[in-house]
Amino acid sequence: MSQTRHLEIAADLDNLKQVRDFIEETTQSAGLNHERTGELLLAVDEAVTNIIMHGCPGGGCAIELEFRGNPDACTIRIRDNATLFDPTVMPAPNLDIPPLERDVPGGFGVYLFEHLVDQTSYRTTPDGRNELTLLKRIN
Amino acid sequence: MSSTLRIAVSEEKGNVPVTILQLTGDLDGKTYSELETKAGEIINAGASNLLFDLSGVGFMGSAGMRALHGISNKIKTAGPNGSAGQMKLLNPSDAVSRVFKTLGFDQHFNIHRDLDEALKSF
Repeated sequence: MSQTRHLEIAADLDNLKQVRDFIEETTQSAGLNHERTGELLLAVDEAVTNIIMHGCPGGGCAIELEFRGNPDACTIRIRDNATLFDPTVMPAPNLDIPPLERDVPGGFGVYLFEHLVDQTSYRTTPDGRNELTLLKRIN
Repeated sequence: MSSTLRIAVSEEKGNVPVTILQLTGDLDGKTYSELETKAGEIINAGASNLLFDLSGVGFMGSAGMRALHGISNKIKTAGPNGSAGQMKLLNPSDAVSRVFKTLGFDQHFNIHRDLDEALKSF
């Protein structure tokens, strides 16, 4: 039997904590272990942070998170009305360059969330929003 | 309630004076600039040996890496006559270690598990 929970927030960095609290509460009730919860938490935070900082830097956007838990996996669906952008086609950063020698700090957000979850997919919804789906298996 | 980050600053004397920044809370897109700003103030005030105690970081995202990168750039010329200062990390929490390991960067930072050992290493 699956369970579904929703959270809607304004695209504002002040709301990152609320997003992480939502993920912790929902994954705990679904039985995801501590380590996997930490990984999913990091992935969702990266995705939402990117939407806020890069997709909607001037504010005024809305982000909707949907959690679905079933015995096999937790799925987080993130929909937003920020600038249309498919993060799954971003080139991977060159991790051979030591972090402290890179010219530009950062740039790891997309790499992080794709390597922390089991499945990632993106589409544009019929009503013109970004929709990013992250799946983390329970086992 | 939004993310919070507390930064407690203290000084210890090892082989050289070391400024310890003890972080408690979350290091994310909201708070990372506070760490950069604080470290910048400390460096501008003359400190060039910094030790970051990361045991109390409950959450760290890639923005935390961005902050550490920015600080390391400042440290490069923070020593006497523009020489390089030193920056080391103490007891990264699970959340911090997760980011380092996922990016494969844990080997690129000077990480210590014991405060005395860390201080002596400067």
